[in-house]
Amino acid sequence: MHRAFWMEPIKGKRKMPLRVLAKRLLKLLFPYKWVIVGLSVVTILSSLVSLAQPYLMKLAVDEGIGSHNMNVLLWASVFYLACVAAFWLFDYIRSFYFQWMGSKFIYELREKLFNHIVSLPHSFFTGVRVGDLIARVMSDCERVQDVFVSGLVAVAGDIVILAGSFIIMFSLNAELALVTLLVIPAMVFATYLFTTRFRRVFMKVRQKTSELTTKVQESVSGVREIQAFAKEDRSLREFKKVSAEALEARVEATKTFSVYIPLMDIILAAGSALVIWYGGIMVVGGRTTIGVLLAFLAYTSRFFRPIFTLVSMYNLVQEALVALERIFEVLDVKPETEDTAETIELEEVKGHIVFEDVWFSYDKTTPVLRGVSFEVKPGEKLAIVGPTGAGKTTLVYLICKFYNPDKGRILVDGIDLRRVVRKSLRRFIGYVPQDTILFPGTVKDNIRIGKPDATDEKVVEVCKKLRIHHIIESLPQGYDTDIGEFGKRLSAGQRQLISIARALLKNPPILILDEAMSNVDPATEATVKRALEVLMEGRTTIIIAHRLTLARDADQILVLEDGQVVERGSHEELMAKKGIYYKLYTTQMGLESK
Amino acid sequence: MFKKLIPYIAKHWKYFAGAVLLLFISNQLSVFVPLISKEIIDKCIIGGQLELMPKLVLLSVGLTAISAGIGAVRRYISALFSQKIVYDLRVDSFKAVQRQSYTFFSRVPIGQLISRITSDTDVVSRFLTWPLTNLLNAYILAVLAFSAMLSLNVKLTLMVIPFFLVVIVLFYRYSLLIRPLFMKIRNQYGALTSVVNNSLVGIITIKALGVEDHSIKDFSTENKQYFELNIKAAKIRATYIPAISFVVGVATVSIIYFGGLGVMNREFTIGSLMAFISYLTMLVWPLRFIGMFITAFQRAMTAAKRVFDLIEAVPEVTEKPGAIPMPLIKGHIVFENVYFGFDRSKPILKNINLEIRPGEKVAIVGPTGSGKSLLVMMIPRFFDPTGGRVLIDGIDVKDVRLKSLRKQIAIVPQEPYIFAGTIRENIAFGKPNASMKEIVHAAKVARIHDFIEKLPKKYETLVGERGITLSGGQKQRIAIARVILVNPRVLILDDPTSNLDAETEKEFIEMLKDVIRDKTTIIITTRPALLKLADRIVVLSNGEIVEEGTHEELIKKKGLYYKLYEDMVKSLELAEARVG
Repeated sequence: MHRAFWMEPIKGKRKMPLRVLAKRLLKLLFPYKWVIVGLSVVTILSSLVSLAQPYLMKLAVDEGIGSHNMNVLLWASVFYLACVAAFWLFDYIRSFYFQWMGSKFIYELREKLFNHIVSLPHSFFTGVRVGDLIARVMSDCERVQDVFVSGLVAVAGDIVILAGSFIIMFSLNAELALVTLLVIPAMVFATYLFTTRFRRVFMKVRQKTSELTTKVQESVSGVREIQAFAKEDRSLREFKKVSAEALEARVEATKTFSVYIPLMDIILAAGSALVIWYGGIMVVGGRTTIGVLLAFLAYTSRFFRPIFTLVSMYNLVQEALVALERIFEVLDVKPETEDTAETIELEEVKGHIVFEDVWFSYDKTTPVLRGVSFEVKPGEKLAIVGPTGAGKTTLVYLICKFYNPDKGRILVDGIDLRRVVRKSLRRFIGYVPQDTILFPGTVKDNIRIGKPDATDEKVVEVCKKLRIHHIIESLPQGYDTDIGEFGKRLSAGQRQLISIARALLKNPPILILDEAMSNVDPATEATVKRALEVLMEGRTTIIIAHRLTLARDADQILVLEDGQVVERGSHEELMAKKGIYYKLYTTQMGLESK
Repeated sequence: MFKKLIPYIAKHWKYFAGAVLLLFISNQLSVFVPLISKEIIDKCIIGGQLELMPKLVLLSVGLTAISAGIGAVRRYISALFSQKIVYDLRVDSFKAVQRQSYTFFSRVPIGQLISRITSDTDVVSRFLTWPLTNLLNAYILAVLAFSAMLSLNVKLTLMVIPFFLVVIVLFYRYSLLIRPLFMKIRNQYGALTSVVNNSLVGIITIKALGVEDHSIKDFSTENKQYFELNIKAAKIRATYIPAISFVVGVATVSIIYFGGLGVMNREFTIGSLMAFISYLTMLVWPLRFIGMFITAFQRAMTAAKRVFDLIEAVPEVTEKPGAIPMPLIKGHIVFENVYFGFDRSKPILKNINLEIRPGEKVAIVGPTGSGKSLLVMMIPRFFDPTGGRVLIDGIDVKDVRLKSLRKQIAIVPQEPYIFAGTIRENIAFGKPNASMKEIVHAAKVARIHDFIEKLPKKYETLVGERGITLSGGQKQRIAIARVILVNPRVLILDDPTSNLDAETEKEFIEMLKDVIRDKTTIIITTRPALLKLADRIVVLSNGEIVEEGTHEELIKKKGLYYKLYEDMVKSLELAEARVG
């Protein structure tokens, strides 16, 4: 029983406090600190240049045209042109490096996230949906890029303008400047009122996006079943439901935002009005001049504009924060290798496997393996038989160290697997799993996947030894046949054979065949089996098979039932015992040869 | 491409019109606010009419509030507008995917489908929300400013025109260059999604083989490519968009200089020059907007193209316009000179002629890759033959409605797909309204009931991605339970016992006898025990029927079947010798 790895997020509650989230984001942005500083400087320079333009124009008009001074007009024009050119340069730099940083940031974030996901333990993948992870790697990352990268530098520029305007305002008239500041608490308070709501709606938006991705992923994966049972309508209905929910979440978010933005508009308008009112009274009272008030008003709008930009980015920031949290949520899952006990790098493996009273459960409550003990000597063949659900595959998973046992030990060449670095172990194991997964590409690439440096000759050699060379040759382009996604263009049997060749190319001292030939026709199976017998020489081989003919030739047979070894011994011994194996065997044989 | 979007926009035109109208109104209203400020300064402060102040201030705030309120409604309406279109696009593309036949899925990666349905539609929507509704405003502003310039001074206007021509050329070139790049970017996004999907679906294999590095490298390659394409786009954007501002700046400076000369020569007044310049600066925003618009437009159009390519993809298997519902199937199946190949020049199945009588049980045997599965998949039309016909009860399967056909035929595939959900839902997949009693019965017949009963939540146990992992044999039996529940007229079993243990297989075969009694049944198998259920055996080799007949006849013939069967039992006989 596998436990869901993470639960649905509690609605509206961010699990990670904003402070932590912000800190981690800054850490991610840290490598870009110089780019950010540089871009901020360029942004400030370009605002300065653009501020100079009206002045130069005034100069040209007043001093040049107005006083018929050709020289001033010429020079003002030249400077204006220089400003325009400088602005062009700054704009170019900004435009390009914003994009560069954004793309680079998302590139590295995705890289990091993906590498992390691949390193996660087996148990993680039994608790999550592929579609959800896809949404996190693809669309959540994108949201983060949109805001934090492009937005951040804009904010840096805005803050400079904000501070600059305020200093000038303060020096013009301190009293009036303080009045202007009254707007800020009002805005902060109003924003605070909306924060929880924003979080909730954007959490929902991201979640629904993920559900939508999952729905598409699963419907496409199961499209054969959907079509076979003519269940397109139902599947469409379900998709429509998820899709409509995604729509509602988005609209709901906009609704919230539609109330928030006008509120800010009104506060800002009230702020301006307040300045005029209060300033007006001051002018009338003779405490300040009309010129100062006019200048002040001009600066107020400069002061308010960046605030408004910041405000209108607020919803994007909220959405990005939620996306960021979803990314961190994955990054926080401990990878397989984070086991401090793992110190031993296996350099060589002979293939001596010992299980010592191994207990294991996926959920810590229902044991799947209960006190399994056995020993396989190097080069021996062990067959595991038993009814569906007895724990055969789980046992093999433990040898691959997908999991550690809850109790007891597993030793390979006398070393406790708990202390072995996983990857170094798996290098020596050739595992052919029950469900054959092929990757997009050619047959050759797929065989070579476990040993990318193997030459074409090596690939062909393995297939020849396995006696499947002619089968591959008979495919449209032989070894270079493009098999389509997941090998959809091959039959199940052909896929299994490729999977076996793939495992053997690694030349592993330990070979595990988990129902490796269930879909192969008997003639081919017989040939491959004979070939395998040769190939198994010198390798420790573990075979899980429902067809007991495959088990019969093993040195040792383990009969597993309900997670316990109920019988153990060679074929002859077990037949003589007339126990469970005898029953299984005679049933199958009797059935098949009658 | 935009043309194809029009029907979608037209369907929700009211929202669109509303959004544009409200944007226009709120922009007009906000123009009045500075005028009121001017009044306050002129009348109240300078004129000393302080008593007017409260009224005017309230008016200004009130006007802002109204304009803001209208803005709120506009935002809401335009969100509804774009989201409704996204919804329609998603539903249509999802429908299109469901229409596709098996060959399509062997060709198009799942990741590309996911990114089209979820992300490309989103890109289209973002374009519909902001740039499209603002276009009219920018246009009005540009036209007003330009006509004002023209009425002020024709000579200066003529001087500006070459600059505008340069701007237009720049826009044109930009839009030409950026479009193919956006297409590549969107496709690359799909490719990246595919790598993620493939790696995650195959993660167990990847880990077992210890090839995490390989899959990381695959991802990295695609990710890097995506990055580089984006950088290319950034370069083009950085080259063209700021250049446009530059050209406008140069235009302004020329007007200042030459206009200034004109004023000195008393050709026109300084006032009209000033006004002219201020109208010129008014044009800056619409021009910048056009730059943004082109970017958004081209991006949205490439995304739309990807979506419409999917929506318009012609399924290889389609219903004829006048297709009739399939009458109740008796079960007479005929293959007439049937050919099939993914690649027409390399047929996998060649000249298949086969007749299966109602209620007959036929077994198909043959070496791996001989085309057995492909052959049976043609009966419910998962593939159409590339040559020849498939007839059921004398009717070409191409002439009937797909659903009416498929509802009467059931397949148990070699590797069944288990949906994320409960076991009950998975068994009841073909008949969602089935009673619990029926479901349990089906599970009992499929010999999976005892296993389910042992689970803590029994039939409500979650399976699939987020639930428990089922073994191959368990999946097969759930697939069989599914089929039993729908009680089809024709039953196709594709190696149904490949993952079953001996004991279960024996029980299964006993049970199967009852299930198939009144049904035309086709069994692909390699198990001698299952072969015993067949009235007739068809031997397929290299895509051709090489032998046909009863078990006894074929054994007597000592041909390929004899050899295959010998292989099947050879090891068994050996085993029996040992037992004996």
